[in-house]
Amino acid sequence: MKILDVLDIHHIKLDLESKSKESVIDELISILTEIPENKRSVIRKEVMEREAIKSTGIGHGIAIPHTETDSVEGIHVAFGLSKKGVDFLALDGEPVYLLILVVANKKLNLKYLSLLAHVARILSKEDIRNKLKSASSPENIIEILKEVD
Amino acid sequence: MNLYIFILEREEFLDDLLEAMIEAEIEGISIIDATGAKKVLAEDIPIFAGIIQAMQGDRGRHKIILGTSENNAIYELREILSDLAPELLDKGLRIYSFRVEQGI
Repeated sequence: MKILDVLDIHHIKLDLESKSKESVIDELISILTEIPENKRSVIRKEVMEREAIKSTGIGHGIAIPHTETDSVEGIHVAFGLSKKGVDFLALDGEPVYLLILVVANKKLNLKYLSLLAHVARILSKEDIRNKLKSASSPENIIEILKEVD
Repeated sequence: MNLYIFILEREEFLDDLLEAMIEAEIEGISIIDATGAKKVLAEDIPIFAGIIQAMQGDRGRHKIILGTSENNAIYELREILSDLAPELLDKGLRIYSFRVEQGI
C-alpha cells in the first residue's frame, strides 16, 4: 500500500505548532476531522501506548506515530510538517520535522504494515526528506510524494 | 494463493528483504536458518572434505524465508528491492514462487 492511496490533501498541515510529543500527536489527530471526537481520545491513548514501547521517531527528523484500532474503519493518515522541530524523543535524539500519523482498523493489518514499510522507505531518502521539509503547500507535498510513490 | 521461497545467502540484507516483503503485502513470513548440504558433507564426511575448497566465499549458511500472498507480489517486490537493496537482485538471493490451489 502506498501513502497516496490513503493521504487526503486536506489531511496535510504544513505549520504544526506543537513542540512536544504529546501535543503534536493531539494536533495530528485533530487533522483527522472525519473521526468522531469520542474516538479520537481512544486513538490518542493507543498512539501514546505504542510510543511507550519505543519511539516512532526513527531518526533523520522523521516520526511515524501509528496505531491499529477498532475505533475507525479503513486507514487514516495525517501528514504534518514542523518548521521549528518537535522534541519527539526520537531514537537519534534529534528534533522531528516530518510527522506522519497512521491510524488503521485492526482488520487491515497487512495493508497497515505495508504502508508503514512504504513510508519508512520513501522517507529514508535524504533528497525526498529535504524536498518535503521545504514544501510550500499541501499540493506541493502531494507532487513530491508522487515522484516516489 | 501464492507461496514464495526465498534463499538468502547474504544475510546482511535480511532486514531489507523483510521490509520489502512487508511492503509488498506478503504475509505469514517465516525465517529458517539453513545449512547447505555441501558444508555438512565437507565437515562431517571425510571423503567429501575436499568440497570445502570449492566453496570459495560460500559460508554454507543461509536463510530460507517463506511467505504467502493472495496476489502475485513478485513484480512489486522486485521493484521495491531495486530501490532498497539493488545489489541483492544481482547476487545472493533466489526467489521461487508457486501457485497454491488450496491452503487450510
